[in-house]
Amino acid sequence: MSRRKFLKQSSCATLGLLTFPVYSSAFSFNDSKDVIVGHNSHKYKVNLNWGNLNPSQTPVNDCHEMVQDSKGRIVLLTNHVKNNVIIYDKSGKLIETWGTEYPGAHGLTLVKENGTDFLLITDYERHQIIKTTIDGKVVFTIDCPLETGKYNSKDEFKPTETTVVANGDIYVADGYGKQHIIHYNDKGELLNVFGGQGKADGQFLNAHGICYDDRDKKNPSLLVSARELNQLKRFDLKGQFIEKIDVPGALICRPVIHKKDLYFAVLRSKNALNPDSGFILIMNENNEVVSCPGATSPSYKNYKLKELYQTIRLFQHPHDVCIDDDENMYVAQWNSGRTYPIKLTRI
Amino acid sequence: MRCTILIVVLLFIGCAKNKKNVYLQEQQISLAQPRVNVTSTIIDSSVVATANLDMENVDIYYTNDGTKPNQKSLMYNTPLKIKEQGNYKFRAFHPDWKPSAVTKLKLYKKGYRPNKIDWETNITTTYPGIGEATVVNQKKGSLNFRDKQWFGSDSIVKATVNFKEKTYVESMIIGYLVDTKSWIFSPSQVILCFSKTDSITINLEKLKAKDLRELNDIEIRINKTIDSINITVVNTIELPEWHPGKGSKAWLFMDEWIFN
Repeated sequence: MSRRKFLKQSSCATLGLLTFPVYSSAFSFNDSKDVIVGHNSHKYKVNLNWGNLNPSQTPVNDCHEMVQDSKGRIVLLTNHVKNNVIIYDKSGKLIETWGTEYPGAHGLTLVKENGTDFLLITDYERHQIIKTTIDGKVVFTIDCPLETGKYNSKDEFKPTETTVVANGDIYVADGYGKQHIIHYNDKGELLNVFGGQGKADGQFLNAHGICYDDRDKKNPSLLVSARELNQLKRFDLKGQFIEKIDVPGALICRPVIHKKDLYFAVLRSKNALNPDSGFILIMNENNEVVSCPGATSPSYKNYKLKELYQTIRLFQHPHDVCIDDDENMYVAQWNSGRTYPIKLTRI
Repeated sequence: MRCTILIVVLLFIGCAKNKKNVYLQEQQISLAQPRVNVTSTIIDSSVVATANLDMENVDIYYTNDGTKPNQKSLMYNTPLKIKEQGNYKFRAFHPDWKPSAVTKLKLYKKGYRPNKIDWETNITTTYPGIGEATVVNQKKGSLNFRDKQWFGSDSIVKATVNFKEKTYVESMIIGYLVDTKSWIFSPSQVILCFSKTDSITINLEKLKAKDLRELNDIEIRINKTIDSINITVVNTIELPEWHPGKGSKAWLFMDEWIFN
C-alpha cells in the first residue's frame, strides 16, 4: 500500500466511516485515480470497457478500422466473417451488424454523396475494393488494375486503404501489394497510378494508409503513410511528390484528419523489446507531433523529432483511430487477442 | 431536521458512488521495459551501460546479482561504468503504472582468443556473419538475427579451435540466440573433444516457452590445459509440435565462443 493510500484510509477510519460499510464505500473513489495518457493539448482518460460485446454472439478477429457516420454512429470493420461491420453508438452500445463476405476486410472509408453515407471497404484477401451502402448493400467493386501494366496477376493487388477527394475521385493504397497508389474516378474507372515499392521520395515500403488533406483549402493534397519507413509522404492530386515528414520510431497506420489535427494509430515502436509496442500519435497542422498517448513525450532537437517509443503497455497493436464529434477517440487494434476497441475520452 | 439533512447527504453520496467509474485507474497497466544500451557486452577493461524510459516520474532501479529489482535496489541515475561481468537487471517504476518487466543485460569478461579456427562445417550459409571469425571476434550480436555478429546454421556445426600455445582453459561460453518466431532455437547438444578419449557432452533442455526472443548462453566447465578443442554444436533437429514449422529443422544462431 502506498503512503498516500494509507493516509486516505486512516483519515476515513478516524471519521468512523470504515465501520459504516455502505457509506464508507462512497469514499472509495478516492482510493484510486483515473490515469491520464497523452501530452500537451491532447490528453485522455482511458475506457477499456467501451464496446465490449459477447464474443460468442458478436465476435471480432482483428479490429482494423473505424469511422463515425453522419448519424454519429461508430462503424467498426473487422475481418471476422460472422459480422464484418459492427455499428455502435458513442456509448459503446451495439446498434447493428452486417457483412459476412469480407475475409480480408482492412480499410474503411466513409463517403458522403449528396447527404447519403456510403462505405469503401478494401479487402486484401479478395484483392478488391467494395463500395457499399451504409447498411451493407454492394454498389460496385474495383478489381486489380491489370490495365496499368504494373501487375502480373490479380493476387498481387492487396489494397489496404482508400480515400475520396472533393470531386468524388477515389485513391487506393496497395499497401500489402506492390505499393502503388491508384487513382480512379467516382465510378471506379482508372485514371492514374503512381508510387511503387522503394525508399525514394515518391515510393513506399508499406503504403498502409492514405487520406485526402484539404485543411489548406487552396492546396488540397494526399497524405500517404510509408509505415516501414516511419514516414508520412505528401503528394498532389496528380501524384507528384511534395514532401516527407519523419516520425522516427513510429510505424504509422493511416492518417486520420479531424479538424486541424492529424491522428495516427502506431502499430509498433521500431526498436521495442516487445512486439506489441504500439501507441497513438497526434500531429498539428504544422506537421509537429504534439501528443503521443502511450508513448514518450514528443520532443524536437534542431527541428528533428526524437525517436518515439511505447512507455506503457496500454495498447498492443493499434491499427486505426476514429475521432468523434466530442473529440473522443476510438482505437481499433490488430492482433490484440480479439479485443474490442478502446475509447479515449479527451480531457 | 439535522437527522434528515444527514440522511439526504448520505443518500446523495451513496448515489454518486453508484455511477460506476469506467476509466482506467492507477496501477492497472504496466510500464514498458527500460531501454538498456551498452558499449560492449564483452568487457575488456570497462563498459558503459545506459538505461532509459523517457517518461516523467519514472524511476529505474537495477541489480547486479541477478535478482529482480525492486524499489530498494540500486537506483539508476547516470550511465554506469561497469568492470565486472555478471547479470544486470533493470526495471522501471512509476506512481501511476505497474512496474515494468525486467530488462536483462548479461556482461562477459573478455576471453582468451584462439589463434586459428578450422571449420569442418560449410560456413557459407545464408547467415555467414562476418565469415570464419564471427564466433571468435569478441563481439556479441543483438536480438536482430540479421545482425552480422550472428553465424546461423540449420545443421550441425563442427570446428576445431587452436590456441597459440598450451593454455589452461577454465570454461567455454557459447552465446546463442532464441527467436522462436524466426525458427531460431537453442542448441540441443554440445560436444567438446580434447582427444580421442577425452570429451565432454552436454545435452540442453528443450525450450518450454513458446514465444521467446532472447540472448542466451551455455557455460561448460573444462578445467584443462589444452592447445585445441574440437567443438560440435547440434541444432534442434525437429521444431516442436506447437510450432508452425513442426517437424522441420530449427536454425542455430551463435555469436560468440568465449574461452576463459
